[in-house]
Amino acid sequence: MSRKPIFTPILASSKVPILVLITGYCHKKFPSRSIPPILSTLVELIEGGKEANSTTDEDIVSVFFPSLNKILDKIERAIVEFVSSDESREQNEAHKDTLQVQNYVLRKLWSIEDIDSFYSFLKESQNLLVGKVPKKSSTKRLYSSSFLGKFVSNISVAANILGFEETIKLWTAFCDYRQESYERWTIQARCEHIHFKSKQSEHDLLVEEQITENLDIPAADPAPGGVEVYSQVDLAQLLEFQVHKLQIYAGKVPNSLKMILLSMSESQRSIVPSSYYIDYLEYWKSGDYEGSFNALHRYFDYMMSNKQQLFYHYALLSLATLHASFGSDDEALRAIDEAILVARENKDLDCLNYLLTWLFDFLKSRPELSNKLTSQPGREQILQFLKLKTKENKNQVLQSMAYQYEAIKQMLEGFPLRKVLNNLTRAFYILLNLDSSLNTKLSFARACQLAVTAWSRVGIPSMTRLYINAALESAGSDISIFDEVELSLRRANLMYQSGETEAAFKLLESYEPQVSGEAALMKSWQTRYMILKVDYWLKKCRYNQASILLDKLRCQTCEIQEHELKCEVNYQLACFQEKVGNATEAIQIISRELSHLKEHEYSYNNFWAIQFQILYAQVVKEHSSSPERALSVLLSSLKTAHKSSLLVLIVRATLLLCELLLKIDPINSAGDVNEILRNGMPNILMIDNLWLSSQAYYLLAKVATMVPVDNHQADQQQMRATLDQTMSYLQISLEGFSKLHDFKWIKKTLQIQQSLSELMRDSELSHSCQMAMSKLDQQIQMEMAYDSC
Amino acid sequence: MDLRNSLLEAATVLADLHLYQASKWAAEALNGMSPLTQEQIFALSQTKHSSAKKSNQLDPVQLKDAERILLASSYFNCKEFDRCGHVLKGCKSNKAVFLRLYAMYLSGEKRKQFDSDGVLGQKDGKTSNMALSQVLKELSWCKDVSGRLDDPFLLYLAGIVTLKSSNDFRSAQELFYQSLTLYPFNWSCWRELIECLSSFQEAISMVSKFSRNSRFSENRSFHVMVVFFEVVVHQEFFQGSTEVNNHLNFLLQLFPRLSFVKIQQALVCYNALDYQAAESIFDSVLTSDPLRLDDMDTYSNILYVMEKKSKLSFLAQHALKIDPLRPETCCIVANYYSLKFDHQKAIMYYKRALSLDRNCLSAWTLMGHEFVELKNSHAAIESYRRAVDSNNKDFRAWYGLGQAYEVLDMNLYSLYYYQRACELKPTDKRMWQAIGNCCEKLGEFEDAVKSYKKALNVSSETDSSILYKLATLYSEIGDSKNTKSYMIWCLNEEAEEGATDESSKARLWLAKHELEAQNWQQAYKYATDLTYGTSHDIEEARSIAREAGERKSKE
Repeated sequence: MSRKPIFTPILASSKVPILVLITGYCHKKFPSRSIPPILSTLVELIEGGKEANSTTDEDIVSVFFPSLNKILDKIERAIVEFVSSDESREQNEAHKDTLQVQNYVLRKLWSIEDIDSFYSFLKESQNLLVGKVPKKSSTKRLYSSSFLGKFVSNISVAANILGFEETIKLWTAFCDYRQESYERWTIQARCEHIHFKSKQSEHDLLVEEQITENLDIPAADPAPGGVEVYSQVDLAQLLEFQVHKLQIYAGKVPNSLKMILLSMSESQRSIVPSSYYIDYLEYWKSGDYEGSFNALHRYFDYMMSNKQQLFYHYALLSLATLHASFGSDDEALRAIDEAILVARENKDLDCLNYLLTWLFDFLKSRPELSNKLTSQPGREQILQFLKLKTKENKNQVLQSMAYQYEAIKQMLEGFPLRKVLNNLTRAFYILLNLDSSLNTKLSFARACQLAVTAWSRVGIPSMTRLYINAALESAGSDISIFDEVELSLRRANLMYQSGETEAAFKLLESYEPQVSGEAALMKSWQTRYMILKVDYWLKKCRYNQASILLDKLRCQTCEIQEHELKCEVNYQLACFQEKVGNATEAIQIISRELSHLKEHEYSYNNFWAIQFQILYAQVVKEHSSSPERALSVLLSSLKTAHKSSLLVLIVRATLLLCELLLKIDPINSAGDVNEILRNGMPNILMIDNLWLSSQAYYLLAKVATMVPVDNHQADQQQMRATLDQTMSYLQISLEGFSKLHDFKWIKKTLQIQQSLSELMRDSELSHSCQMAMSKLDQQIQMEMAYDSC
Repeated sequence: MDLRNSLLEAATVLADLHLYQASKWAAEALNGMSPLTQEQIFALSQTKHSSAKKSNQLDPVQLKDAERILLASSYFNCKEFDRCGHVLKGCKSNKAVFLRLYAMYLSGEKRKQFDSDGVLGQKDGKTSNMALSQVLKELSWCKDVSGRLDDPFLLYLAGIVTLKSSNDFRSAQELFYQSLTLYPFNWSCWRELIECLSSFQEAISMVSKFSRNSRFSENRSFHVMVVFFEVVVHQEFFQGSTEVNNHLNFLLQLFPRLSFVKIQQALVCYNALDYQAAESIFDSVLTSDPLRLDDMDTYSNILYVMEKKSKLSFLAQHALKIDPLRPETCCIVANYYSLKFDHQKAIMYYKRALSLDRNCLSAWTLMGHEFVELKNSHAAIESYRRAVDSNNKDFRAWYGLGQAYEVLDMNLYSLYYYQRACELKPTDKRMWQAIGNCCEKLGEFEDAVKSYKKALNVSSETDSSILYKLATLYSEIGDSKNTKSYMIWCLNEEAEEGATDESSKARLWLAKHELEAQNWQQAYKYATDLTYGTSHDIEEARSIAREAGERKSKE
């Protein structure tokens, strides 16, 4: 049965044994060798959850409001650990000291026999402080500014302002609280022959018993399950801690805390508004917009009544975040607009800087909204302001973020790599010179994610992996679940690109249980998973399945708040159309995307502009009767990609160029293509993209077969070597495409292999190629017919 | 049986008239009587049957007003007093008139409290009930119409209004007397009568008046009410006697289960400073009637004096469980905090008690004591003044006023208030001691001597401090003979109570005196026997002993 909660400003049942311990310490009731562990236990108990480890599974309520048995066990553990660390001491000393301390605590607690003794005990705590009573030589006194003194002083002040009704409730709760140690106490009392002589006469006790027995007021009786007293100050801290945990690490609200929140009345909850913020996070997690909206408003309404104007711009920021997460972009803009205005009026520069970073991040993902925001400065001005003001205010984390956003802007606009790295380096330099607080760790993880994006686009996978590992290792167990999932998505992507398809999907699927409880995480994870799956199925020619997924993705496009992700989805859509032969459709998608990207300066995304251009060239090459039209686009893409050092795109464009040249003029281009490929091979291999490298090997093999035969007749050995080399290229290519399950390209490779086998007059090879192609055709048919039904 | 029937009827009638406290008293008294035997139950049912027929014959005037009275009663129960009065406009029956005027009076009281701006606030005690004049006017109109007021409840109301509007105790007493003559079972009326008796003599003469009235002497049931009255009057004026005890025993026989009688017994013991007996009686009352809160504040005073913190805390807890919004509960909690030297909290709870009931006498007095502890003499004086204005029979409030003025060194004022207190409790030596002290400060040594002698006379035990005081006073006057005799008397008390500060000082004085009189032997004896006292006194005694010894040896 749940206990009825009662709230007092400072006092709680769990503070009474702590006070007893302090009293024992001051009155020198403990052996001096056990003082250090007792003091460390006191620090742990008084600090409560402030030092609690966010990732611990320990029930958070019991950390802040420990039970009596838990306190006694803590004492035992502390003393045993302390003794065991000192080799000169024997273990039975620890046992003896533990018993002495625990017995003292139990004796003191159980000697409080009535409400008068209880009240006296609390009030007399002030006698432990310096200056309150004349000093007795045997008693240690505490200064009220000391750690223990502050605790005692708070208790004393709280006891002074207690009304009698609250004292009764506290007393009832205390009786319930200590009841769990009753067995322990009775054993001890029996062993030590302890019998407390009551202050009252037996007659008085009998009279009181009779009166209580005859009194029959059910409404006045305490709650059937008992009562529990919580201190509002500690409860507010507990809730703040839980909020922090939910925000960073997701997860669930522990049942013990849920019980407390459920049993609180409305007026009690208004004293600790964070309870509504927890509700907000819970609703937000489950994707309940209305619930989140109502809970957030309630939270800030109660906070406003405490803090008045000060909180208004923070309230607006939270509102903007809420709207943004549910896709109400216009509402989010309105809220953030007002927040900026209010922050300026209140001259809250810290908040203003944060709001501007939020705005920058928001608009980065939604460039189409930049036009709607007329009252705020442009991107460039925001960044300049941020860099200046964050430095002035010595807000280093935000200053680092300003440089990160500068780097993002430069990446979007296609600046050279050195400029991007310049800003990234500055961002990292600032963060690495800060203390390793949680905030810094999280900021560092975010900065690493940006570096991961930069290096993966540049095409240095080792650097990408380095930053992923750096982010995960630096944050350790403190890493936010959101960052962890994001980094794992990138790692999975890297694995997929390098051909570890199964491992990549396995890694992604391993996060499904974690993300399933969080709407925002689920959206992000699911989208990326589906995009990878689409790519995989397109390679496998499982077009029906890919189409279904793409339909789903297309429907979700409006819910996707990230512009990059939208581009990726549209890219896959275009790829699909191209694969199934709908060139016109593919071109339409590409053209639409390119026109969006080039609409205005804020919507331009250099990487995707090039990517779509390359895709356009591919479609033209594959499906147009005049494939040479793709040349100019390809060359322009190459130039742009080269300017930004986007090696992946350079490789992709180069390989496409090779294909194009071979298509336009196979005989005369073979030599050029061969040279291009041989020169570019180191870079192609460096980017560790299995598909591109397999394609490169395929093309190498293809051009090798295109060299005129008569040139080679002069040197049979050389020709043999070339043929062997070509076969090895084909083999590498085949292995690569097989690993990726790209059946169309496997077939292409096999075709080259067959023509080579015919050239080599290797009938066995030729036959096996034919068999393989025939099987492949069947496989392709099967995959194309594959349906979820 | 007559008494039983009367109480039964009274409980109903009074409840009907919304005189709830009186109705409650009557019902408690009824239930406090011995349980009926089977025969008695049968006889009662027979008498009820026949009286029911009679009582069914309602007064036609009242019958006409019946529906409106019913409506007005429901408004009254909802505390809509003005509405209640309004409904009854034009009604002629006595019951309707009473209800209307009573509602008007209560409405006025409510507004008065609302306007008073909190306990000890600026307007506290300065607002008045604006409805009083209207009620008086209406009552006098009723009297003019019918020649005289013949309804006991209208008479009762007239008494209350007269008292509140003009403080005319005599007229009020007469009206209450008339009301009680017509209807003696209205305990509220008896209470009001007791409140407006300002001296014990007045009270005794009122008792005699009732006793002489044939209605009371011939009717046993009526006589019982007079006995109640007499007992309460004696208790309130702190007059214990064998007669009172006999009355109490008589009432206990008639009402063995009535807590009220037991409480009166306890209060008599309390007034006689027999705290243990009082405590025991209160214990038995609480055990049998655990939900009773009436007079429990007095019980808390007893526990306070006995310094029983645990029991007092239990009582406070118990009272809070029953009803946290009773003035008695607040007083009990306040007493507990006072015992814990938490004076601020005590004051807070006393104020709470007074917010609930401005006429809670004990709260005013005790709050005054708390202010004295906090050295806030002016607030203390105001509290005590409010106490005596509520009930001028409480010697403690008068005494408190005396103490407060004494702290302010206003000795003449102080003397006046101590004299008032002494008038009420002439057998309490502390009163006489206080008067003596004041006289001494005012330089009136002879009056001081008289006072201290009186204190000695009324005290059951000889108090060495009084003896020493008398000696010093005689010394001031220059009467060395009496000084010496009182010093010796004080010294002789050591045989009873052992050495005290006073007896040691007396010894020292005697040693000095004998030294001056050159009675070296005596001086030496007195000086050497001084073993108790301050180091200064002991040192002085030693020097006297040395000198006396030297002189003696020289001789």
